[in-house]
Amino acid sequence: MDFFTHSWLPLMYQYGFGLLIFGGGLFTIFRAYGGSEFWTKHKIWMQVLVWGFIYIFSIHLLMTLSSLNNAPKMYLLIIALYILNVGILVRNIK
Amino acid sequence: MNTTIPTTELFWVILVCYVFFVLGAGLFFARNNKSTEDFFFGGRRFSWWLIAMSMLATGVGSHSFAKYASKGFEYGFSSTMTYMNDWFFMPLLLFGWIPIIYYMQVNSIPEYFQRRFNSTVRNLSTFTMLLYLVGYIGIGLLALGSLLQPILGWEINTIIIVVAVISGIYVSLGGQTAIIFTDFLQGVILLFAGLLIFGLGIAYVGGFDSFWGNLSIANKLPLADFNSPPDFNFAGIFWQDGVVGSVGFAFMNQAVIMRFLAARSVVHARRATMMNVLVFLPIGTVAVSNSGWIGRAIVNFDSGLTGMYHSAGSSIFTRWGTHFSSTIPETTDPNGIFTVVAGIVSGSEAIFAFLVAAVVAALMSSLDSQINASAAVAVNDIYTPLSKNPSEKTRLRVSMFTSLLVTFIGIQAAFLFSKYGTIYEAHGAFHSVVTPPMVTVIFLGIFWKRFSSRAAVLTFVIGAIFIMLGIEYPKTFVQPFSHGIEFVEAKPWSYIRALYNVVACASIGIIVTLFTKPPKDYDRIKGLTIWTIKDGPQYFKGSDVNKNAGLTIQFAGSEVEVTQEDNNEVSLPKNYMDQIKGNKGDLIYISDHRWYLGGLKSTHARLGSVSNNNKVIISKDVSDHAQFNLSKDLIIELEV
Repeated sequence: MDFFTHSWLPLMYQYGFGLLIFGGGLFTIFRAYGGSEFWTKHKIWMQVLVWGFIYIFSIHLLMTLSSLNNAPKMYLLIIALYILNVGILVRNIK
Repeated sequence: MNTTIPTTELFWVILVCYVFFVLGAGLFFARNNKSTEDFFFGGRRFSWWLIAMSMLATGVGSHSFAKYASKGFEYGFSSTMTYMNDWFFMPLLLFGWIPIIYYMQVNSIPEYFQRRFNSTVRNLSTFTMLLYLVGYIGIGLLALGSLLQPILGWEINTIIIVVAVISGIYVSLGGQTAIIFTDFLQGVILLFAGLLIFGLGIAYVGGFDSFWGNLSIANKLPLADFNSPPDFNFAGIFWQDGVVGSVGFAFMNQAVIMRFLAARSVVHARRATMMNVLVFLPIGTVAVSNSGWIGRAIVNFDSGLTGMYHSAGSSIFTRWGTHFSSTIPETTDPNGIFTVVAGIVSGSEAIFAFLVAAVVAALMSSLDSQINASAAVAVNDIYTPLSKNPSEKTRLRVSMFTSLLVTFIGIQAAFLFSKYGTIYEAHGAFHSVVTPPMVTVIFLGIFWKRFSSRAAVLTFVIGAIFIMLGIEYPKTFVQPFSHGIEFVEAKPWSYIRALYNVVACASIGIIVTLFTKPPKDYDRIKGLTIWTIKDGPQYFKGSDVNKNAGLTIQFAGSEVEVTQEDNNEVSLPKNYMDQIKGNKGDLIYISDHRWYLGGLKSTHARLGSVSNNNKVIISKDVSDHAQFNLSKDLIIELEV
């Protein structure tokens, strides 16, 4: 059975539009707060924002691969990613 | 099909004790409410972790257990998809909307519209906001009724009334502080209960391999099929729940906005939001959905779809002295699947009672938040503008009365939704229709300086007309946006119509603005758009910003002297003043140093002149509000 419309198509659609919304948002705040001044003051926040996007995309990607390839062990990777995420946030956002 | 689950007195004792404990704890913390700012915003003093957990309980509490578990039961892991796409809007939320409402001290969305546009836009938004909130209360009440019905066996309308009365009384007594503390407790217990039922469920079906093997490939995919079936398809739900719903919840839900405003600073509000979305929500989505997945695995096994083993073995067994079915018929009402699965997998009545109590309490916390938020809108945006300088005491009394009133209206909304079909569809249809005009005006208002008052009014009015046209003539107006989703006569494109509604409203707003003469200057909207937000901190402080903001000092409570003045000031000895690099008039945050209090014993004040007796001098109102224990150390932090 072909699962393209149930797996890769919605994933591409979600992260295609998601990237537009997210990228547009980043660009807007970067401009509104004065460009380089914003980067200097809020560099860590910008990094966390980008990390958050990659993190959530990775979870969806791994879940899709896990289902299509009948590979439940990929959930160990998702758990590891989650723990890494908690570590990154707790350590960097004070 | 509805299943009545047998219970004994033990179940009811645990359930009632738990609910009384959680609600009593909230009232204990709220006993010092002295003003509407305390009642609605908890004195703007709480730490990020308390706010984050409270936001989680508010977000996943009410309808989620019924809504997402039901879709988990019908379709599998794709029930999580709308919890995992909030991040797209985070740049705009963290650095656009949160600083605007916090620094500009916007207490409600209608108030924002008054200041950003005019009183006409405020009135239109007040109406829409109350409709939105009362709808949320109705959905919450219906969800609670659906989850309790398999246990109580009562008419759903009776359950709705009983729950609404308890919630209404509780909120009218406790306010925001009670809600934040009960939400925190419930947030922690909610996650624990959600993971507990997952563990018990996996053990019940014979381990993780059996659970995995009893789900089909489609059940395990994280996103729904692109455009089918009509009642659960990716494209429709992406626009209705993922985009309009997420923006609606984060940007215009008064309960969430009140969480941001209850934070001790903008940075704490940002941290709370970030941790909520990246850390708590992924667990939250598993907690609210997994009973549906376990239910699906059991159904698949029973129907012989997968042939894997589950440990119950037979379809009838003895539970708490009563014969009880261990199987789940395919026809089980999906709205009540949490209770049905908990009844089967818990193994003991005490655990079952705990699971149900945790969910009931979480549901009530979400309901409480929405009731409190509705009262805030009614008092701040209807009562106060209409009455002439009402006293704080009168406003507080009106707040309590309004909490009861909106609860009553919420009951009527719940009755209405109960006739619609599933909670998921009722909520989806409601969101698609009510949210788009408001979301569009907020977005254009925040991110486009030129967006005019006239355009905002016409977005509401003509937008509503186009929304009605879409309902009346879906094949003409909504079909071009349908993404190939099948037309269903009774509920035509109930999700994807959100995209049509947003496009219609945004087009009106943009076209009218472009045909309106731009204003000569933007002084009137300083701090109210992202392009003028840099003025926000100065507005918040009332004078120039201190570049050293964020510096902290710690000192012993024994160094404090409380005066009888009510000027909201704290005077520091010269050495402390030098350390903190503060100036007279600077805003400060003063708190008990114990982090785990989460800001409960803290308040905001202004720095006074240097004290001349080497003591930290605190005015009476500051001391009364913060309720310090002077045998403990205190900290002072310089703000903006």
